[in-house]
Amino acid sequence: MAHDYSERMSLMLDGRLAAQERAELEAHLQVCDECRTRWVAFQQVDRVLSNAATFAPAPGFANRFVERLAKQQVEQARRARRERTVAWVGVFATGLAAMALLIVPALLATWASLVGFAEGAPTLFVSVVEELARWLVTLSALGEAGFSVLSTLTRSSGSILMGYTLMLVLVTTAWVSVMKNVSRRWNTATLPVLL
Amino acid sequence: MYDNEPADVLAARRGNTAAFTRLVEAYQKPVYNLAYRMLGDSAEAEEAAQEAFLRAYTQFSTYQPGRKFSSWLFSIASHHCIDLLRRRRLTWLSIEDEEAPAEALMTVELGPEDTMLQKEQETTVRKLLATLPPDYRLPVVLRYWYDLSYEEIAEATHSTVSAVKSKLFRARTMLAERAGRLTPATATRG
Repeated sequence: MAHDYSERMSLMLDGRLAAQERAELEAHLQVCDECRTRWVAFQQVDRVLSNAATFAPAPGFANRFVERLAKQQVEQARRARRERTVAWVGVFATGLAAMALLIVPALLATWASLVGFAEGAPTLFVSVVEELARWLVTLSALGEAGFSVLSTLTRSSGSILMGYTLMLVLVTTAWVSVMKNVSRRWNTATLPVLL
Repeated sequence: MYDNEPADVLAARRGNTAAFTRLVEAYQKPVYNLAYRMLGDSAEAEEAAQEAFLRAYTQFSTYQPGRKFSSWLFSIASHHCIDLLRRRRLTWLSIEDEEAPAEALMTVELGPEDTMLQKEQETTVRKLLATLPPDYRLPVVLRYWYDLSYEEIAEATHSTVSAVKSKLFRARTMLAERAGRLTPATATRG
């Protein structure tokens, strides 16, 4: 016999069967041994679970939670401090690197221009300084393009150093911005304020 | 729900630890019992219940004030238990191989005669639950121990009413088979 009453049995146990469906199920159980066997099994399981005990934790659960929460908060504070330190180190390291990148060649170029490319200077050194000088000119041109307000100044004889200065500002600002975003992602409290 | 629960929930949501501790005191038993019924071990249940409360505390901003607090809390505890069960790649223990669980505390004091009977019944319950996959065990626990409606179970498990209905039916079929009252062939047919 084709029938499908098992799901209705489950609904009946939960009191979610409409009166008519309930009557149909009860009528079917009168004539179907197979479904009646299943219904008895469902009822048995229902009885066992309905009478099952509720368990409680060992005494002091709330106190253990408070201790655990305090420990977690200490750990979180420690982690936040560590992340702030890393962020700060990152900011200064990258800033210093940017400054070194820009200032060192400028100093070398200045020194070279003051001293002059002496006879007998190592060829490699001369070519490096020349390369740096060309690079400085390029940077200067970029600075001029980006900062037209300062064009008067950048057209002066100190245009190379001015270009450097502008690049220095740009690179450092970019790095600080990056580090600020990183620190925000790490959810550090003081770094964004300080930056 | 206790008298001052709404005020404590609001205060706890603002980060008031004392208010949250009162919520822990009020809900420690149901959350622990849920974890115990899902995991079947008292030590794991303690750990899971503690972790569930910690998660509730740190994720309190996700709680919507209009929602029933207990449902939200059970939802966190339920998902944590299911995560644990999946993580440890639980192989459903056979009734024969299953070891006795660590002793847990019952909420009702029993006499010596009752204790034996209760222990036997408890063993039966534990073995039956252990046969269910976690996704099926959860609606059964929420239905029988917390008397949640299908709608509340669906909310707590991030599911639908029809899915809850189906899972309860299938879980009962599995349990009935396990209880030895039905042969597998009979249970799967209409």
